[in-house]
Amino acid sequence: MTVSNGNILRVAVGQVQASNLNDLYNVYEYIATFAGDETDTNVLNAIAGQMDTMYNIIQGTIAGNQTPGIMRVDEVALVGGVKSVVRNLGSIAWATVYDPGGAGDYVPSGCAALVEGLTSQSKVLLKKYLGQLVEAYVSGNFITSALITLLDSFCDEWFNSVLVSAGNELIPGFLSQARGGFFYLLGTVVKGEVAYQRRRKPGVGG
Amino acid sequence: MAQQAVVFPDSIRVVSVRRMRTRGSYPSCSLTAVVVVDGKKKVISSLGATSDEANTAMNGVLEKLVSSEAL
Repeated sequence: MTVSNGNILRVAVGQVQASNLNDLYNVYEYIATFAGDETDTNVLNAIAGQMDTMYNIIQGTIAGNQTPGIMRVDEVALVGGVKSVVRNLGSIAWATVYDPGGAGDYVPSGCAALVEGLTSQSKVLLKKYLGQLVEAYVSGNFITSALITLLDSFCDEWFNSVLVSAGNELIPGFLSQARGGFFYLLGTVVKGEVAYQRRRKPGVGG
Repeated sequence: MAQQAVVFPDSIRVVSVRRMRTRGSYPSCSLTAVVVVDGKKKVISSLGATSDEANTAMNGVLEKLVSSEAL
């Protein structure tokens, strides 16, 4: 199968916590801006490379109990106004270089660093909860300046288009059902406060 | 990863960092950081035609801030 110009892809990047076997997912979306069709394999490999680069930037801040898992990529679209998965491109291991191994103890698994992606719509906000952090990068209710430095670089990389081949790029953004279209990522915000995802609390959810 | 990353010193508490970029023929990047110095919030910012330029400018602002506040 191939990916064509205008197709929208949803990428679920997974990691497994060995300490409690909770899965941590971050979801990203891209729109294909292609001069010609690309094979699913080429697209999967290109996205995996981008994710590997992004997460490698922050690997020293992520606890070593995390194991990078599988990256699942689906094509999504608004079908009758409802955001739906049109087809699955596949699932592959995404981390080649990324090898989390932050030193020391880690913060509770519900705690995370938060980066937000901005679009042209104020209510279309792309939130990425990154964890599980090691304690060295958290001070009180805030993440440290060192982690903010790394997260800003992480965001800079996220903003970059994924180059599949010459003339074929995937541009980050989000397909909003409420707003009825795809909105490009225009900016990012790194939050200084420690954020929380209850679903990642041990014993909650799957 | 940008060749020139912004480096926020440990002596400054950073509340948030906002990075806006444009794509295409006329790329630009603006950075805005909210920091706390002496218990007061300060907003600092930088601009550049590329991410690297904005990062370099922001590093300059941070250096000035640290030296002026003797942090």
